[in-house]
Amino acid sequence: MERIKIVVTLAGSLNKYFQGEKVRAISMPAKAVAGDLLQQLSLPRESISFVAVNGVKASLEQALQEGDKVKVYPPVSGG
Amino acid sequence: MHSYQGRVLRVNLGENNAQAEPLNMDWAAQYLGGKGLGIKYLYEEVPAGTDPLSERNKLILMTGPFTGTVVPCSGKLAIISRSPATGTILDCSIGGHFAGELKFAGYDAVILEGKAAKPAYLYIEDDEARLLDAGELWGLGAHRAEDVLREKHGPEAKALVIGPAGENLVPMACISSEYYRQAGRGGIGAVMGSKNLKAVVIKGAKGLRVTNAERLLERLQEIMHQDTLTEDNLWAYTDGTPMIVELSQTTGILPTHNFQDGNFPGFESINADAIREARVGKRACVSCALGCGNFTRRGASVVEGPEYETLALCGSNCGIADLEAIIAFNKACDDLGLDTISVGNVTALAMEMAEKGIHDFGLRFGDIQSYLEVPGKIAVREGIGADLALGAKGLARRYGGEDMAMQVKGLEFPGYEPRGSWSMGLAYATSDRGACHMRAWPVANEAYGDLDPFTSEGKAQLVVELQHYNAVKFSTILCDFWALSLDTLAEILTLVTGKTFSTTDLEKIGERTVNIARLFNVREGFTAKDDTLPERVFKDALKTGPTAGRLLPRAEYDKMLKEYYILRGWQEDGKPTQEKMQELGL
Repeated sequence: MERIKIVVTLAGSLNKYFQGEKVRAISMPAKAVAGDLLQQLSLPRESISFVAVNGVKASLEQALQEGDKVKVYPPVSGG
Repeated sequence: MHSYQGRVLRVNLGENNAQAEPLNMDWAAQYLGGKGLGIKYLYEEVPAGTDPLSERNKLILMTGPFTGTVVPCSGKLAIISRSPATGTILDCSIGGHFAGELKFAGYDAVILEGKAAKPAYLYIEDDEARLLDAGELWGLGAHRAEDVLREKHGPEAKALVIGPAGENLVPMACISSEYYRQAGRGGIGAVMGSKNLKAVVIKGAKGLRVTNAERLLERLQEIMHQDTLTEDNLWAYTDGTPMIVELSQTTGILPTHNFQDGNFPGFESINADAIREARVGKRACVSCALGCGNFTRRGASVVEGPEYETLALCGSNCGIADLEAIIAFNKACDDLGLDTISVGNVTALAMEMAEKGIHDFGLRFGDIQSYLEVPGKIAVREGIGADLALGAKGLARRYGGEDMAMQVKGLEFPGYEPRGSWSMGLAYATSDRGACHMRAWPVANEAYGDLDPFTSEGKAQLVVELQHYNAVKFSTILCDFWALSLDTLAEILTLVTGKTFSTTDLEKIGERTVNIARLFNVREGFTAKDDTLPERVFKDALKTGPTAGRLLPRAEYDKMLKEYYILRGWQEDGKPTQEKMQELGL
């Protein structure tokens, strides 16, 4: 099956899902969407606020492309 | 109710007289403490039409039922007065250790009245309260003044101080504590300055009682693991508020060039990664498990911060991507006793006024040298500082450009662009103290969450619920970062006070607090026409980035506001109905 490589950054305390690392290159199936990434990383939906693809907030249905830079942010409160 | 000391210290500064009196426990049951109880006292004691900078205005320092207890994140103090910036009710909260010390001194609140005959500071140690000469402190920066007070009264003494901005009655002057904690908004520091009061110093050695200490400790242990040391909260420790720079940038709501845009190309120089690289230490308020404070150093500049609001208003909004410059600006504002949100906002307005040919203050977007001179000039009202000290509304009124003065009721916008988060626009317009992000923060649900930011559907309900929730949070008082459910809050409150509170009780207290704040503003002449936003939001589309082409159509805004009034039980003119007041016991 064809695969793509994306670069994933987990912001803030989410880096525990990368065992303390912040950035990793991840291999995904070619037709993967942003939501599939969360599943692959075992990252519960309620543990994130949103996913940004190439610097723009994306829906979890957004298709991922080879070389995409994906960043996942934790929920925030206050301000 | 346990956990209250049941005493208020009333200080008449003009008569040099301090008397303890009983706390009104009926009001405490109806408003809890902090924001709600402070507003209730002010509403009852300060007549309509009182000049905020006159000796008839009062300054109330109010703790809450959690202050001084083992409840985490309960270290904040509420400070309440009538705002010299807006004329509205004003409540601010400040972190650090002062609030706990006040409770340990045996008081729930201090009410400051009148005006000292000459510069003075108030020293409180348990049952002793004295007004002392502040001649040697007057004119000092907040940092040096706090040093002097600590040298004099010992390291255990906690202080609230003002800088030169407060002394000079600048309507964006703040009150500081422990150098870098501020009651920032609405000119609360100018009220203190108008009373010739440089500082309040406190030491306390008493205890306080909670009803069920054993069960409280057990539950807090559980809650710490279930609701505190979780991803929802630990970002506050790992990154703190600078995390929000990227959340705003990726959603197109990072204020840029005086809110002309929501997309700042230099954001990576001021984001959480940049702050982490510059970080040299961490810090927490009393009783806090999260420790959101970051000490940063770049070049010769060191500060606790900058927080998101400073990075947004004094960074991207002024076109400044140089972190060293922002740290220096932040440090100067803290020492001079100035609110970075309002100063950053009015500086950006002055920059745009030059760009548009309205008036040239010598300030340009991205020009660091002139930017760094602004806080010092505002604090002493010198040169362009005399104009900028008018605030965005006053500056635009004098020179023109009111459509692009980003303020509501005279309080400058914080760091969230409402054209990319429509509910934030409604939250700004209906906030009790003018454009504020702490009365409701719907961006978390909308721009940063799952709700569509570009629809009016359901937004009035969202803002109403969040305003109730925050009114409770700031009345108990808890830090804004600890987002406990009302169920859990009611449970803790019951264990602490011994009075049974339900979720419904707390919802009612939140609603009552919002309504008494509204009644205060109505009494001062505010109406529905004041619940609006600058024209720019309605007619100028954002230019670039994820929100390019977006504005907040006026018809959609009007729809949200109308729905908001209906949900609140307020008339079309924005006044609470008689039925609503009766329902809430007002």
